[in-house]
Amino acid sequence: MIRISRIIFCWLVIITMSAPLFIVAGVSVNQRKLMFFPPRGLSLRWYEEVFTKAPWFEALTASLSIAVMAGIIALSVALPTAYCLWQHKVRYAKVLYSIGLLPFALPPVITALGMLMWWAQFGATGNYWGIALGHGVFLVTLPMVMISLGLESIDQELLEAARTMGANNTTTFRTVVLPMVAPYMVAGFAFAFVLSMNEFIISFFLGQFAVQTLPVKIFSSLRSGYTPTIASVSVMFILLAVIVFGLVARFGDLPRLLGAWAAKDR
Amino acid sequence: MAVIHPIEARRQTPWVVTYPTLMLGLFFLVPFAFMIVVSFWQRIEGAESGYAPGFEFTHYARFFSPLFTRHLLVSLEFASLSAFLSVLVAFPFTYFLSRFGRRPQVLTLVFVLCVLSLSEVIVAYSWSVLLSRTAGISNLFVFLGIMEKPSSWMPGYGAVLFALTYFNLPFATLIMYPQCTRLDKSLTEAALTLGASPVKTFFTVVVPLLWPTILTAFIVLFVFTMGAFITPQWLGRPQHWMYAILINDQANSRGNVPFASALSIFLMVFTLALVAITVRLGRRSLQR
Amino acid sequence: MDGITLSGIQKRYGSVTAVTDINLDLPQGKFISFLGPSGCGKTTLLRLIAGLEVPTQGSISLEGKDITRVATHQRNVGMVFQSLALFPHLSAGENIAYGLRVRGVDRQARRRKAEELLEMVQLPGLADRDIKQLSGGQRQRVAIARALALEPKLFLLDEPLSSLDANLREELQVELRMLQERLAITTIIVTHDQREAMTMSDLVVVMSTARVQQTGPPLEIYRHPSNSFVADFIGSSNLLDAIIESDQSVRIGQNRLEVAAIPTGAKPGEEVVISIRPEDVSVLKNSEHADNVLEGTVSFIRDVGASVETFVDYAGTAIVTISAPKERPDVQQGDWVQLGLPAKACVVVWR
Repeated sequence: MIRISRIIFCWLVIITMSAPLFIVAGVSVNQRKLMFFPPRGLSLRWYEEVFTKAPWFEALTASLSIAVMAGIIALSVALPTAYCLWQHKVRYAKVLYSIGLLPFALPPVITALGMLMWWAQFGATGNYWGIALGHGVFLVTLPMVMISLGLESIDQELLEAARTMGANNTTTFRTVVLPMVAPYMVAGFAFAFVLSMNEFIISFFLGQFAVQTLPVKIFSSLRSGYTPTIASVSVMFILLAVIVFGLVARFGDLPRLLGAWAAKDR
Repeated sequence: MAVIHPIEARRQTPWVVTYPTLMLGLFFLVPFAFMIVVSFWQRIEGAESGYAPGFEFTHYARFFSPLFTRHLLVSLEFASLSAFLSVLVAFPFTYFLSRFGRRPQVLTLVFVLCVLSLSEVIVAYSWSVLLSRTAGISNLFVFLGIMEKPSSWMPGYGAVLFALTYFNLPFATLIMYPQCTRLDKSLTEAALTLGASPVKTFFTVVVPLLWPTILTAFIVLFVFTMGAFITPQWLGRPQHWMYAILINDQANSRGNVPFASALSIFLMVFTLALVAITVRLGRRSLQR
Repeated sequence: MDGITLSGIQKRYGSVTAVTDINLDLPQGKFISFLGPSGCGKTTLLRLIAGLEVPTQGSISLEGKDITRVATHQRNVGMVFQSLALFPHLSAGENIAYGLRVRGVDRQARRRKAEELLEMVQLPGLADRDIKQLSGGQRQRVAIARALALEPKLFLLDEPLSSLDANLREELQVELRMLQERLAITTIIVTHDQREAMTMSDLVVVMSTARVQQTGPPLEIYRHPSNSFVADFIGSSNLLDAIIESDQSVRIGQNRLEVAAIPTGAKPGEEVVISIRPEDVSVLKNSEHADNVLEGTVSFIRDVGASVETFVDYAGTAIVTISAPKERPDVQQGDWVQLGLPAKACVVVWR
């Protein structure tokens, strides 16, 4: 009895969570331009538009390239920070780690404004790099936390064993630490990538309409008039996420990556 | 090959920190500091750059006008309510999820991650469709006979609250997930053997032990939601607009950057103060 | 009738069978052990009795009533988990009184009962102590007190002593036994330590590979193991392959061995195993006689302080004899010796 009510509850939550997914999918294949649901007549033309209409395609490529760069930047900052905290017990490592946590401890609009103002001073708004850097630094928190988790799961004895066999710090890092923390790095990158694709406010502030990522484009096009291309873009987002996280789940231990304890950790 | 003595290595600040320090410092801390500085600068009407170095408190004084106070309170209300509701729904969900078998658990996690990756734009847009008259859920209810004719549930207070809560659900789940999985199953089993029904066990053992993570989720969601931008605009009326919208308005539309900075600083301080209070209260309730 | 009866119990998890074909009648008020190696199903069986698992087949009844479909929280069993499962957010006293709190007993009465129980397990005055501040042995006792707080009909313990050091373990073994006798409560303990089971129990249920191998009082199992697994698992034993010759003897290699009894239904020519305890084998001195004599070379002598083990190689198999230091055989490695095996001590066991 209890089991059944638990399952029902969970399904209710899942159905509610997936409601927008259905809407968006349904609207995206609707033949006519109006917002009807259920769709009347099926068509894939809105998907075509994303690739054929210049503004949409530009927005798509902008989002993708920024997301990749942001992911790399976030990872490059997260790894040393997490590593230092783990290996070196200097106070500064803790300070640095706390700074890394900061972006997620503030309402994003504040970060966005700060960045905008700073870069406006140099006239560096409205370009790809600006947004990529903005995302990269803002999204450091998640990869950092995940990599920390991964590092914590490494038994210190493994490192000591490597050292007794003559490996110095660099070699130990390269041959023992890195392979073990790699899944967490990949997961961290995946998160940063997906979150960057969907990030709105920083892209909005820093892009200043010169560079538009997909979310910004959706926003501005909804202001000027509705088009179902918005929906098809959304569906593509969702599919992208499904693929990315599906791959992570297929090749990695997803529960573990998200912080669950494996039975052997006890 | 020189083997670096482990103890030595831990005393010095390693060179590895220079890169992250540079990045975080230059692209995060400095902009921040700059913003604080600018919030005290003067606003020049009509000038090209719009503002110039100076030092004044005029911007900060404007907070206490009725308009801005009202928007602050609205933001506060929405953020705390939606965080609360989200955690209320997400906690049992996450707890049950952590007790699933491996396969259902992984599938659900992938699902949650996919929902998480929906941008605020998409979520707001989807719910604006779902709550509308022509294409919304009310049509479904009419079909099922629960309602007589379709109606629009947006824009409105309920729509904004609902969408904000919805948006927070996957975040809440992922924040609480680690601790939920770490709860020793034998603790709930022990409670059962001592005569506590599953419901009683949930409230006397599970919730008290997972209280810290519940609180954490609430605080993180609260802070995040204080920065909601699109949802209040699309699903609510002007009286429902939250602080981030004002900041954007001042910065981008009116060019009053110093004031926008002041607003941001104020928002940050206010939010952090509330967080500190909540943490303090949370800790005290634990020591009951 | 009065105790627990398990009929036709089977528990499967998908394609894995955890226990099968379990039919047991466990008497009320006795100290019972489920004994076996890891993975034999003994913990599963305990959890089935507690209601934490539901059997795939079969039924369980307690005092004549069928409890197969009764939920755990309605069964009134007191259980001590292997990890103890003490609630970290409650003090020692609050842990013990938890069951009473669930039942709605008021605070004063709860406090009194908790203190009573703490006295019973010899931890007076620790009611307000934080769980984290207790030692391993103290936490063990709190777990026991908690399980007994509601005066349950069954007292179940899952490897309760395995995490304790040897001294503490022995101490608690004695205490648990005395506690059980005083309360006359039906107690089932799961363990993989056969010495523990033998010392504490009235009844031992030996399990292996999801089945019950033998049930009986400790001494009977020790003296008359029903198959080679039990013989081997319970105490160390010498096992020799043999073929039945007549209704009083078997043949091992070239030797004829007289045995006490051949199991009913055994026919000459059947392959069996002879089990004989090391303490029953002796190295014969020159003029000594014995029912059965086997000859071999001393391969190894091990002096473990309290006893001396002499390993003799007989046609490729090692036969061990144990003797007290005083009666240590006067032999050295490499000596050719004769071993005496009394017929009474040779137990015939199925392969």
